[in-house]
Amino acid sequence: MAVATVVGMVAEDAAINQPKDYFGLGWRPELTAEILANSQQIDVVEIIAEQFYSRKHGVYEELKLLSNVVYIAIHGVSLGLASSHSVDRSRAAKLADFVKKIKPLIWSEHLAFVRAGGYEIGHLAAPPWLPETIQGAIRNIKQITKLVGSKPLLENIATLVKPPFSAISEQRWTSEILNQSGCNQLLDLHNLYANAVNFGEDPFDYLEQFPINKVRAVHLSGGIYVNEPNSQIKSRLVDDHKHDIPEELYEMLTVVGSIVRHPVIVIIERDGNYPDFPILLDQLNKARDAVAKGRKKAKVNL
Amino acid sequence: MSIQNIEIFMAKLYTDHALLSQFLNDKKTVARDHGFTELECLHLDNIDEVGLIMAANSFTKKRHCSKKHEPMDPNIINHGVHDE
Repeated sequence: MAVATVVGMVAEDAAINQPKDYFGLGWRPELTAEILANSQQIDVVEIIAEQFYSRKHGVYEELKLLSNVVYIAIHGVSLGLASSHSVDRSRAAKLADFVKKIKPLIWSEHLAFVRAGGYEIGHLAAPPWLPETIQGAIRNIKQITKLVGSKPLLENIATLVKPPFSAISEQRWTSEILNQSGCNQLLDLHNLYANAVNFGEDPFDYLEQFPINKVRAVHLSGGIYVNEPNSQIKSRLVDDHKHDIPEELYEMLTVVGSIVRHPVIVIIERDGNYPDFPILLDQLNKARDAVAKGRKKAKVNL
Repeated sequence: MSIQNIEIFMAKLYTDHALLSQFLNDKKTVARDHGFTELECLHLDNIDEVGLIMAANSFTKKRHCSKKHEPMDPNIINHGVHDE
């Protein structure tokens, strides 16, 4: 791999300048050895920024070594961009510093809120889908873009509860944020799939209402149906990243591949219950085939 | 109720199990106590309880597991580097 083409690449719209679709995995310590041993079959790894902040020494040297092997994408999980509250300045500064030093292929954050009024939720929560949270998100995105020097890709999240007081659909809310911020999307297909299933909607209809032409990266993962509280009814799909990718997601990826006219970066996220590594590589190849099928169907040449 | 206070209320429901329990027992009273209007109380009374409980449980689990991932081992990185 031509390392020089990666190091120094500006994150903003980097994917547009790539001549091909890229496929890779979320970086997890449990997968380190296998990723490195099989790096010729992996184009890109996505690292979670917050996992590196506490390290005092050697982080950048290690990541530089990693970038000799694969492209790096940076994923943030703690800013809480989609909130009427301002992003925590210290967290924003840390992420900006990290992105500037690593110079990733892309960087991304979530359309979620993670804290409010001093209460740390601990994960990604959906704010009410309202004009007010759109405006909050725009303000926060503008702030982080200024600090980092490039725009993030924005990821849709999974939510087990439809946010109360929402006045518009998730898709319209997302579209407005993307349009007004000028950002592109990291489309998490399993988050989308889980929301559709949990809200009683058809996943393909749900997908088609998203601004697919703004997708620059895709997340693939799996989940599990769980019991409702005090019940034996397994009605809710939880996006736990610990199960195999549902077949429908590959079909949805084909839809994405048939619509977008630019390269996309596809990342498989796995956070536990790890299968043998060849199975993950097979899933990567299935993702490659799914995108290629969409490209061929729509006669898209990159 | 301002959108900022709605977000704070949601964050409290997701992190304070005693409050969540009170809310599920009597949603309108808890909402009123938090300054919501009658119309907003009605809206909250119709919230998806199952989804709310499952979301709160999921966030609690996430808070407890937040230290799960550790950064990479540099020895493995050095060992695995190859040229192409």
